[in-house]
Amino acid sequence: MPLTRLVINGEMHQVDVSPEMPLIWVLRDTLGLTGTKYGCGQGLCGSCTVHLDGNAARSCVTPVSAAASSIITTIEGLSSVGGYPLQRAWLAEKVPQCGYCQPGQIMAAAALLASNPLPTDAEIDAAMSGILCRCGTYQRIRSAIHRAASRGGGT
Amino acid sequence: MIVRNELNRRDFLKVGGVSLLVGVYLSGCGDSPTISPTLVPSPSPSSTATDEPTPEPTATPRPTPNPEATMQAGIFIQVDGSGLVTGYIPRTELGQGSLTSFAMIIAEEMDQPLEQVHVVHSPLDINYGDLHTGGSDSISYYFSRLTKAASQARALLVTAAARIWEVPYESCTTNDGKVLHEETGNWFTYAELVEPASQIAISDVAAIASAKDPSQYQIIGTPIADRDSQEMIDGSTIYGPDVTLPGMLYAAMAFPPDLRGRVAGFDATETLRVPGVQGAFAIDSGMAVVADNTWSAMQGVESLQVTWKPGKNTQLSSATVRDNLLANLDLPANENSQVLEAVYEVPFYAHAPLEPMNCVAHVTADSCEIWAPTQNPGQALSRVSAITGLSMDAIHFHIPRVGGGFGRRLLVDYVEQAVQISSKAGAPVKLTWTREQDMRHGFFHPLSVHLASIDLTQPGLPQINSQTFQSWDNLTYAWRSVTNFTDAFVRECFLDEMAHALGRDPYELRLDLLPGELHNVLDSVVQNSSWGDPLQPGYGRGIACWSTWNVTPVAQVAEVSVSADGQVRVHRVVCAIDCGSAVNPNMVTAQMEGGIVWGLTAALKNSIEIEQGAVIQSNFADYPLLKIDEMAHSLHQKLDKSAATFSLVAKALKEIVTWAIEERTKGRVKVVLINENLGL
Repeated sequence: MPLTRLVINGEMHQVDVSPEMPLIWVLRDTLGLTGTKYGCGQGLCGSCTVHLDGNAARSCVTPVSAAASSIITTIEGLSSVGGYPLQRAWLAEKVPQCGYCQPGQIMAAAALLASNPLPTDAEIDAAMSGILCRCGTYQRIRSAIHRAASRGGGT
Repeated sequence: MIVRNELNRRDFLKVGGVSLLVGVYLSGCGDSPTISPTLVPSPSPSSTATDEPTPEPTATPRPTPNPEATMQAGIFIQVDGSGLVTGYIPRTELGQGSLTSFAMIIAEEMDQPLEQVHVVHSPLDINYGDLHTGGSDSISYYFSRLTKAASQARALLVTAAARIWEVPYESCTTNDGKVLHEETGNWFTYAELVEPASQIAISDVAAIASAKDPSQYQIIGTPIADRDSQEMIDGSTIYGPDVTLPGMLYAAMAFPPDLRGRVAGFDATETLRVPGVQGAFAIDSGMAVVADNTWSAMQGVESLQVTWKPGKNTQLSSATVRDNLLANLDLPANENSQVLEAVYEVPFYAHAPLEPMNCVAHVTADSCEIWAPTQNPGQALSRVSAITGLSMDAIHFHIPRVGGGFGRRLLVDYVEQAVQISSKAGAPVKLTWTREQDMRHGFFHPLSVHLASIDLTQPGLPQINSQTFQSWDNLTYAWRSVTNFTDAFVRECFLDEMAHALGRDPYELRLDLLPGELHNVLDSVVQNSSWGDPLQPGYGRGIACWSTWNVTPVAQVAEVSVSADGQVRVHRVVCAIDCGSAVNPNMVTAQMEGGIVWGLTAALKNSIEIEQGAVIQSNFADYPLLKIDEMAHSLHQKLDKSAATFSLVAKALKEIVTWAIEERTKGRVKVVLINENLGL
């Protein structure tokens, strides 16, 4: 198999995997970047959300070959591209319960704030409604996004 | 000179201390100081530079800290030579926040900085208590035990210092991980005292160790975030699926189509051609494929040719279960127009935690090491011992933080599978179920039907006849709150039917009929929800209450609208819980918020249907969860404190979303599906 080149969190990687392998398993199993979570495998829950060229994408339904031409950011690299204030807002609002979905929630929120620094509730709904939380932290997620936005901390 | 300086405590403590929680709206505390593992303010005032104790000349030689020394306070608490305190408690952290609360209790009683207290899972020894996490009692069970152990640990350290200084025990105080003698200005760190304290028998201090008066609490009662929050949001928390071992294979499974079927035979020729696949074989509950990565294993499963042996459930269907249970209700003819009756139904539900079932196991000829995201390591240990033939001493469990359990992880089927796969593969393996397998092969909340009735000429509490599916093959199990939410749903919906029929206010009818322990929370939600004030057209309010496990009263008022086309929207939920004092009020609030989401989800979103022994639903497309845009926008959580109680509940009640819509279609309700109830 030809090596696939990936740029992830500012670093170049070469991986020897099937081009159809979903990006999530390359991140988790091949490269050990386990902050990106498997939840559904069908693009339905958003726990696996990463950024491709700054846009939120579901890594469980993105073949690695389709990601090779993009700049990939995962939760492990978010703070180095400006996600730290958003993560601080998450702490301030005491968002996580079990925490499993939160990397995906934060990646989706970071992509939202990068394109829309002061979103309304309706805009938060539109951007975040595909990211499921079974514990029920939605109210705090909304508050954390507003908090980060009000401090100009989304990008 | 260091003393406990009440004046230096944070402002919100002055108004929000444990004894003063009544009436504090927690949801309005967004700007209060946040405490996280990296941002923990010291609980005591002495952590600032200006307060640092100044060593004074003294004739007493300082003990030399011994990094190798450890001091035990019973089985629950150990202090090592660096002064780090470790609590050993047999509880799993699944998001309920128990481990944070345990650390708060220990830090409080020891006067130890919170960041210098770690809590880990205890050895699997019943001397530590029940070896499972369930029943919502972790904090209420361990509060007194940890308070006692921590106060004894403190007493050992103080005794060691008093003996060195040759001063009375009573003349010493503790603060910020130090023992202090105010008269002379002498002080020792706990690290300095560990070795001499380890020489003192705990029986020597049992009589003098005393727990703090709650009025002295500086940590207990403060609303703090889960201590793992930083790691959870930067992706560094290691959940079960994130464990990686050298030489580990990745395992996936194929399950029979019917619940609890078996493998009759298989052909793995195509599977073994999938790049990365290393093997395929049958285990007790299905087929396993091991590979170099998860995706190859899952691809290998897709290529398997399996002949299945049907199990005992092939005739099972939820429709038939429903009909049979309804027949058992023995519905009365109801000739009497003064008798009000209604039938309620609750379907099967799946737990569906976001982290699917998974387990890492490494079985060798003489040992077994397991990373198990389980609520029930005690049962897992005995099952693994039975499967492997190894003695329990040869089996070592690691319990990682878990991405949700809700009762599902009290069953250890996936642990058994990982152990069988590792044994057959001869390698460490990481088993990960797909979401579809997690949805279809779990242990479901049981379907039930309920007939409620009352003679309106003699209003009282309704008679309720409940019929619940009895699994003959271990198909159902505890689901968040177990039966509390079903029982509350039926009674509370029917009380609203009664109020409607009698022309009574639903709140006032409840005050008349329900025990006094519920009046406090009912009054609270009525006062805080503008109950009785007019609402815009299409909107209504409902009220409900329940005493969970007959211990924790909760009430809620929901503001709901029903659009012209029948779309139900819950806009606001006002919630009151009377749980007594809370170790970490933030966790109580979080549990109530989560319980509301679970109630909304169960009422509005999903159910599990079974046909010919197979679950129909498979993933979040056909078992949808509530989404952020469907969440009630404004919640008010309120902690009430009964005057006479000091019971501790951190993982409090978490269901009660059984409100009624007043502006519902008129007429008698005969059969009400829970999913449709709000849409009437």
